[in-house]
Amino acid sequence: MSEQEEIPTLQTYSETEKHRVFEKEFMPHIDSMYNFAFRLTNDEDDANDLVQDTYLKAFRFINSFEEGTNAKAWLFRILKNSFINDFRKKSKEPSKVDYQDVETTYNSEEDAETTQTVDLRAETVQDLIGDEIANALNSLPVDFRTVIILCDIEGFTYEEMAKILDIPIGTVRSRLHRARMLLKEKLKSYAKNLGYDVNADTLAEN
Amino acid sequence: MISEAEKVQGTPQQKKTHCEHEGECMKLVQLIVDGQATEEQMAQFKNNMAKCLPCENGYELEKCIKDAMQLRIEKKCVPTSLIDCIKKKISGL
Ligand SMILES: [Zn+2]
Repeated sequence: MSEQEEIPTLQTYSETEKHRVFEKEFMPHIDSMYNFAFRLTNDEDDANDLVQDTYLKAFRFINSFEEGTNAKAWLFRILKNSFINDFRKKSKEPSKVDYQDVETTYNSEEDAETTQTVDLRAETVQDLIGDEIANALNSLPVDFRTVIILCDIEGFTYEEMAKILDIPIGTVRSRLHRARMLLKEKLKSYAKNLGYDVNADTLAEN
Repeated sequence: MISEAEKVQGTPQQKKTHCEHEGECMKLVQLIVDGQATEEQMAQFKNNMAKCLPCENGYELEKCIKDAMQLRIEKKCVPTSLIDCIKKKISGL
């Protein structure tokens, strides 16, 4: 995989310009990048390595980046590719194995017309604490976690997500839909553990 | 108690409690929540909201989860040692 593939025109930055562009366009996104890396790997050391790899690659391929274009999406794409190609192979992440299963199971996600709804109330979600919400997100298989992070936490559009993930927009939509379905299941089980009767009406709250 | 939203949209009792095209409705809700809907889809959604309780509840839930993802998950600060390390490596290139 090369980050150069998608961008046809190469820039010809001087050495000084390279450093200026790097500083001005790439460094401001390092917080988002670090959080993305941490959510992918669930490990601070791994997140460090992944972000460092990504920034060094970004510098090496800086001539494929046109100043003033979407640096954040460009960087996220490199990080995501580094994660898949170099990193996931040696990852300690326990969901590494079931990830393969999920990939096979949901390869037909385009056709998936699931209409089942999860019985969960907005009020119940509001009562969960941040850690429970983070745990629910972390428990999702990495592909589903990724679309939720990109869309909800980082605020990328479907079009940007399609580019970052190298998948069609239709797949972005269906993967998001499925990811949220799974997330709701997880949130529901947290709520249950807290002793909520998720089927109960507002009566119980009064 | 009747909320402001209900006064405008009609009380829940007047809305249908079962949606015959819930699958489609929920896809629309996703586009709305993500700010990716066209004007036409927006109008269609408003129309659904006015008469369909599952649509309204679905929207509330999705919106609430999205907000929770955005605002309630702790954001980590990147270690300054990482920034220093990257800058050092880059300056050596
Ligand atoms: Zn409906």
